[in-house]
Amino acid sequence: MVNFAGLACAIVMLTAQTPHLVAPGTVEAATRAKIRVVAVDARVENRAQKHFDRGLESVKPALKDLDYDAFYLLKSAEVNCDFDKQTDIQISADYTLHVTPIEKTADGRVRLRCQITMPPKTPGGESVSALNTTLLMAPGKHLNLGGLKLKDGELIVVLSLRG
Amino acid sequence: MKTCRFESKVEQWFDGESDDAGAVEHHLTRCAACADYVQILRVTREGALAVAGGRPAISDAQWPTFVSGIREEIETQQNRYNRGWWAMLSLVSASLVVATSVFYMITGPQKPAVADTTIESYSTEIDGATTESFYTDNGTATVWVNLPEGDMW
Repeated sequence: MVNFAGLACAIVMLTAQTPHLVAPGTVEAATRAKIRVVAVDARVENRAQKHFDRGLESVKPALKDLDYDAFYLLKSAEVNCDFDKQTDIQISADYTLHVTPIEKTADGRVRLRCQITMPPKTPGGESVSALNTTLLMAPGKHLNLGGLKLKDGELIVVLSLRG
Repeated sequence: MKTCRFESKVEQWFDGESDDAGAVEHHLTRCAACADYVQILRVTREGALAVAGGRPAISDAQWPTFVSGIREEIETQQNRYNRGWWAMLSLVSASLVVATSVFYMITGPQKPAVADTTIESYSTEIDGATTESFYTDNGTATVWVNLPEGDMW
């Protein structure tokens, strides 16, 4: 019958389109997370219009609502971070970013531990964890880590998870 | 084949056109040939009426065959109707499947809604500093360290 042929056709065509689907609640096997890191020196300079250094175009949406009017690029890097392994990125002379992807969830987000450390307060001491956070990071979205002092401004680190 | 000279009068009588019906009827009682001829005329007339649209006579012997023929015709009509219905249903199903498949192929798989970034925990070891998390006006997740005034080291 024609309808049997139609149903068979439907099953074939629909199943051909769905191999990428992941059952809810499962965790995809992932070995690496590609993370873009942009470190910014944010200042208040009483400008009439906010200034963004060249190279900050991609993170401008994440920065524009913060109470600064000048954003200077300190560092921009894209790193492939192994899961369950800490990746260290030197941001400035004083600050180092440590990123550890923990797992990828079924909805595509990555559980991430981020830490910014700074030199010890006293010589010979241990470095200080200036900021330590754990989060579920959505692909394509930005994350701001900020508030730490720089010489003339404040440090803002913008992280984004690549697709 | 006429065998009696009265046959033409018998024919007129049979057709109701005789001027002297009584004489013809009297002749028929005595002439076997004309009597047979009248019988032939009756059979012929009945046959002609049947061909011309008159109701054919169905004998008792013919009745079962007649009824089974009607039943067979009805069932044939029903089968034709059923085949047409299934063909239409199949056509509609196939069209729906093709349309859905084409739409699915053109638009691609529906991507799940991207969840937002969720801050689960945050802290600092800087003396006197506090931390907070918030979302900027455009929805960017933010973790902020609020430092005490003065030298943080």
